[in-house]
Amino acid sequence: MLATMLIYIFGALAIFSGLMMILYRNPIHSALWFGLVLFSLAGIYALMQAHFLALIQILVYVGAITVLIVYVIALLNFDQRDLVGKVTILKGIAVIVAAILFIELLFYVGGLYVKGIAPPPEFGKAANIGLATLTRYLFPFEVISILLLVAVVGGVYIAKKD
Amino acid sequence: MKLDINYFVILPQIVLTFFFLLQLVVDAYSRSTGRKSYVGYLALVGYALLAAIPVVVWGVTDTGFNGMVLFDKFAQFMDFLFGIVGILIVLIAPRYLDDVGRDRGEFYILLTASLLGMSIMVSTTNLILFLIALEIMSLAVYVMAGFEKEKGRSVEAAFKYFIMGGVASAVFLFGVALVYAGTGSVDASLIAKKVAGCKVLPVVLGGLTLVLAGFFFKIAAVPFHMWTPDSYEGAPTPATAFMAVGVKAAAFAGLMRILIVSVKPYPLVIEAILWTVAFLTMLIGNFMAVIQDNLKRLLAYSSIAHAGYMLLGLLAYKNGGLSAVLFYLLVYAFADIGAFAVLIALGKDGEPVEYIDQIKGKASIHPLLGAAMIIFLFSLAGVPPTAGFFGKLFLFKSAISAGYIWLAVLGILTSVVSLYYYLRVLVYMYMYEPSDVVPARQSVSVGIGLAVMSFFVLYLGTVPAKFIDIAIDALKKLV
Repeated sequence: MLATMLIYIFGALAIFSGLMMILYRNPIHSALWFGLVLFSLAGIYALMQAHFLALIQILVYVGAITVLIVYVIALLNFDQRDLVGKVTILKGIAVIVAAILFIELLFYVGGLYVKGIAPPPEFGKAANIGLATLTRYLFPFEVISILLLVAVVGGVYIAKKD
Repeated sequence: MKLDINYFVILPQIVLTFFFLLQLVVDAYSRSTGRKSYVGYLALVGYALLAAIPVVVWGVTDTGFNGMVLFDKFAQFMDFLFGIVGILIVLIAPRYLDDVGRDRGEFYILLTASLLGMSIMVSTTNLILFLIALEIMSLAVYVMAGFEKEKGRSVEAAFKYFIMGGVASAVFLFGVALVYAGTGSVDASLIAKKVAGCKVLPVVLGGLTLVLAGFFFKIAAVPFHMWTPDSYEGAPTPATAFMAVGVKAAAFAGLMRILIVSVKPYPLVIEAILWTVAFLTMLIGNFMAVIQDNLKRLLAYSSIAHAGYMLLGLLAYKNGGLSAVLFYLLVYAFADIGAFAVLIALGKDGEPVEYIDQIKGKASIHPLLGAAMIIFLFSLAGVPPTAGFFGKLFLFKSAISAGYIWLAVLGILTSVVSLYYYLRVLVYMYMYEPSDVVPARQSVSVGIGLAVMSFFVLYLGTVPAKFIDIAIDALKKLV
């Protein structure tokens, strides 16, 4: 009972702070609201037995990514007056397309609500995640190291003065 | 679950990873000692090995890592193609990078990395591994597009590609999440088992639609093509050639593997989407190419149009459409890289060829380059006896026998339109007086590349049956 209530609370919080994130004009405020979105998602993960994922979500997303975004905004140091948006036809089209996509997704996910597949009881435990990454998902796990290396090589090339 | 380590099935990936790391070390070492870096040669060796492995082990198939990696004939065929594409890019790249003063080893290092990503992409049905591999490929190509980092347009190309690519990956991932929610699996072969027999859940269809959108972005199909002309125009020409051929081939192969394995026969929605996208892509790609004066933009729109033709093959998978796509990818690789290579060969120091005015009358100064351009452009347009004719013939034939007659008719009509803009390039090369008669610098590697590509465009046109048989053989297990 408590868990169900908490899920609703975290869900409402996520939606509310998500709205706040796009409605605020000051990008720093948006970034902080974004942090709250990620935090409430972490709460939902924790309630869905994915404790490890919840911790990682807080460590990586709330801790690192949000801070990074705040840093980038602070370093860019742009004029707030430039951020005033104008209403254009393209934006109107974008709103319509986004609305259609939203309704479609509601329709898709709505069908799932009854027929959803419940996660196995041991789902999301740190030990299981460790086992999965080192047995079944060993190859993707190793391949990620190449992905990180490529990102480093590319980043250094782009950023370095020569 | 037990560990299922099988080094044989990841042989191409091991080779590429080895050369990727070796290139990094060699490049860093030669930079610190102030010597010229020879990583381009290392790349050649690596890609030659990549192309040689499938030839040697052709038909010896195995799976490993608990079914995560499939080393079947399809993967082997694609590895061979990637090896060839890599070699051709390495042959044409040094000349261009030298012209613009950016002859840096990182280009080949990133090329190796992106080939590694592609080679993983085509050998898995697991969507998570697929996405990681897709990201390896994409990240490397983003940087290659922005390789001339002091040039505004190159940076713009990279940035547009990066932002749009990031969104496409996010859409793809969201689709995977929905598919997982509906089937409880991220492996296309297991998804197929869940989907087969029962009514497909809407959430799975929605997920697959989003996955398709991610793919359409990578193959530059309308309406996900907006980034293509700008990115292709701004990127360094060899990188453009790689984006137009390598990335597209990998995305098509992934699309075949994932889509055909997971949903066969297509649900009506998927079929309708493929139909519409193929229709629009052929139409818009060809008609937009007509009005371009920038040759790289022209080839960009032409590459969009070719994606449209290949989508026909995907629709007609029951009637040999897939083997037609594989054959087409092979033909298209030679002809399209060839066309870009001619542009590179005509460039001057610090002044690469981009606009159609720049090639005025060049055929009278460089008759061989002119002849090569005729072969490549005729092949792209589908004029016999070049290989492009048979590529289109197989595609349209399969589309007609699968009942997509109107699409095939549109394909044939738009091919006629494409003849106009390809011929226009040739008219500029042949029918005008050259504005300056100073010949472009000769480059041995581009020359070798051009010779190889023109030979294969003509050779594939003389014995297409042999190669189509190999393509059919490669697809036997898939369809």
